[in-house]
Amino acid sequence: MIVLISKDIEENKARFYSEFNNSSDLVTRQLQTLCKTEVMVCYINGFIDKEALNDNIIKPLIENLVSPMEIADTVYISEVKEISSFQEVIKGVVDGHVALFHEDMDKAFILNLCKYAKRSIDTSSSEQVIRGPKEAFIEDLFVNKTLIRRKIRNKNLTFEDFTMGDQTNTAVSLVYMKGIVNEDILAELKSRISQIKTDGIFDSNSIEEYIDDVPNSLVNTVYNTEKPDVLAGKILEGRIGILCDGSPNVLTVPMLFIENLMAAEDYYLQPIYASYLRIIRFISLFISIALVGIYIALTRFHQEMIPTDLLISISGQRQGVPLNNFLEALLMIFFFEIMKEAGLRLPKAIGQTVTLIGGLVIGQAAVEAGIVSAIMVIIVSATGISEFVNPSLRELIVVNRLAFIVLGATLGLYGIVCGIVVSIHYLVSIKSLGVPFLYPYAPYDRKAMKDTILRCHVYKLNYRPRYISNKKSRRRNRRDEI
Amino acid sequence: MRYKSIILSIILIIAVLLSSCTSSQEIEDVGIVLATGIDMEGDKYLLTHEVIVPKSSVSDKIGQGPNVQYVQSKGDTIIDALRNASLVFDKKLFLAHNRVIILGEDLAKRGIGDIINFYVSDVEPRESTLLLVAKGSPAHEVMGIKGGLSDTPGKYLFDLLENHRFNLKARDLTLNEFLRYFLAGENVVVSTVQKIEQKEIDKEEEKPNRTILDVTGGAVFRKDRLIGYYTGDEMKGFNFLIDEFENGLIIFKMSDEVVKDNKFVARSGQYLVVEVKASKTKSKVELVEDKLLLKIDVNIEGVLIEDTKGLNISSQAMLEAVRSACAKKVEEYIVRTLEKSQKEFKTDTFSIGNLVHISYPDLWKEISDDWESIFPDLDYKINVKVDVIRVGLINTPVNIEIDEERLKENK
Repeated sequence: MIVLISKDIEENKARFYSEFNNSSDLVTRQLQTLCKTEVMVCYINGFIDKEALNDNIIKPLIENLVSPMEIADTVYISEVKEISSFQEVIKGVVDGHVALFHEDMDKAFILNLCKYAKRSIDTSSSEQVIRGPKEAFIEDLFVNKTLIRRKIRNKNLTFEDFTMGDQTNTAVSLVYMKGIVNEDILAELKSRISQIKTDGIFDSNSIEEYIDDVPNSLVNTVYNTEKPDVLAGKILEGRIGILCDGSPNVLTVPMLFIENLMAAEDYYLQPIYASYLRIIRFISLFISIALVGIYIALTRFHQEMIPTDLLISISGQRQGVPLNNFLEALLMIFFFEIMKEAGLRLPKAIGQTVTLIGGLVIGQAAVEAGIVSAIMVIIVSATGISEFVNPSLRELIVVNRLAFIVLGATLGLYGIVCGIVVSIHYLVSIKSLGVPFLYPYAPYDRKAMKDTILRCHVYKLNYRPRYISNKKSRRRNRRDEI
Repeated sequence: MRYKSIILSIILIIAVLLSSCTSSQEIEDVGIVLATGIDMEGDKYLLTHEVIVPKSSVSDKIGQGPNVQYVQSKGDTIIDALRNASLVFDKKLFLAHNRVIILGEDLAKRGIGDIINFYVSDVEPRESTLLLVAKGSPAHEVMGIKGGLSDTPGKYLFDLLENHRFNLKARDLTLNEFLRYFLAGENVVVSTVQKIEQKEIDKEEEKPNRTILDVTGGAVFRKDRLIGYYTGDEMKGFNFLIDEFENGLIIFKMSDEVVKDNKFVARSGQYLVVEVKASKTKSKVELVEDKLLLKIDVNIEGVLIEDTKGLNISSQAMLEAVRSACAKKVEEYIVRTLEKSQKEFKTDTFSIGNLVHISYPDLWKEISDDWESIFPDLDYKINVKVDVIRVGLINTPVNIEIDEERLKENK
């Protein structure tokens, strides 16, 4: 039911207060203009630019306004909206605008003076680079939009706004390149987003959970980044970005598995070195998941596969260790996880101490006391270090590692192989918004292979990934089309 | 999807249950065997195993290496003896890392077929294990001798055999190769090992360790029985015949005539040595006037690595003389070995029968049963071609007086 605005200012004021339940941060100011009529401005304290209010609204109104019809022409504000329903007034005020009522008028004006304290643009904390742009998104949606717009100065860059969260009314914005984006994927994403019914959205992660293809899986099918240059690159490949007010993490869909192994800096480094780094990341992924399992499988089932000298050394270290190596591995990983969690949550100064003490106690003292063998400490630490190489796969790595330990301890290398087979089957089976997750490996696409584990020279990257972007779209025009 | 995953898990589970690959053993519960010695005592096998004593590394000094312990057990068969070891030794013997199997001489003379049988058919021992015969002694007598820098006696013996490629007076033969020759009906030459005494060197030590091992020579088997030994030099001829003579040395003399111009400072040198860098032996059997003729072509590329005669190698004639002298020596090596196998052992140890089989399959069918009697009278023709590709780094020998003419030549 639409409530119309009254001509009586006092009535409007009373309604305004009662709609907001006399909340203490409301401010109203009534004043007389030059033509002796009464006007009222309402806003939320701290949400607007007070100086601008004084100089650009109140002052011109008092000094210049002669007729109510000229309000919009009198105030020095670029964004003025004339409205007639009280709901719109409330929405505007909640968004940090100033509502202006005039005596004897059943309309009100919403003036955008929004200004509030926000973090300034900073370097990214989770995706650090040595070379390349260092700025990162902040919590403010409008600033984030500007950051993208500054990267892609093109009329086809399109933002599409939504409001989400029944209580929080959070602004969410889709961003894509018209003409490059795959319209089917865009339609699918919009339908998923429109179906979200929730109380509140505080971070882009809340949206991620709603639009994820495989919500019960450890695999992320939605990519997130903090860096405008990464987002711009993905948008140019035909992906769709999802910005959420209040979150510095911007989501992109569809996501491919290979994106986990990519880093922003890859594109600012020599192609050969960048490819080398990606191979290292891939090997680290394997090590972090399977190394402990393989070690247990080898030492329990396949001693003949260990080189003799190493076997003698392991056998020597295992003498007198009370736990068998399966339990030993679980114990070590358990303490490793505790250390990781402790180091992460504590303030920085104490965090270092925790790592130091943890490293000393678990690494050295435990070996010397004969509780665990030195080789196990080496294996678990190697696993732990490798885990940090692929931060976006952390959840997957940690849980799968345990699975591989159990497989290795019960079935040996056969179990490890089974684990790998099942994992790959699973990865092949899932999709991200209709795009196969393992693309371009499965289904195989030769043209898209140039930017996967190996990154070819940029001048060879002629085609956009076929499944993601608009079909047949090239990254640059052919010579005759220029 | 669900249907597929059920099928997949059933297949995986069946594979586990049927493959019987589920028995695990903890690494600290096995005794890692590095060397095995096999002897006969009466009717029973006597097995000696060299087992590593693992030490927790923290208290050990680096470089000390592991200790070993010896486990002896008897049994009617090999596996019986192996299992009997568990009555006297607390860990399960683990044969997958066994490097060498040493056969006692007596055992080797009685036949080793059933031993090879076990070690090849059992899952644990590797086929790459080296096979040796203890020359003139039981196997356990050559065990436990650590004459080198390797950590354990077994490793020491293994490394000695690995060295054979620098000095082709020995050979290494794995279980797998033995089996291959044996199944092809060929006679095998196996590595040997014997104990030798070293002259006392370390006077400081209270008990100087003077016993070391020597792997020179080869043990000749007819079928699975030991019938004799080749000496080190005969092994050279053998290695030429089986085309495995790389990095070996050819040591030969030349008549003093070729160097009659040289005035020696002191004693005139006797020998020249050519190190073989590449060698290819092509053996072929031909039927000449209804008689088999073995043709052996040897092509050698070598380096004149030692020259005690001060040869003026820059002259073509001299080089030619060196080549022919070297070739003559190679021929001598081969003839000596061939003669020994024909006259003394009357056994084809070079798989020449196989060559007949390849060239004249029909003929082979007729004569294969009598091959052992035909072989001793087989004629042969040896053709050696030597190419000297390098002659060392100096042009001016140290042990001869240099005259003006020679100096000029060298410049």
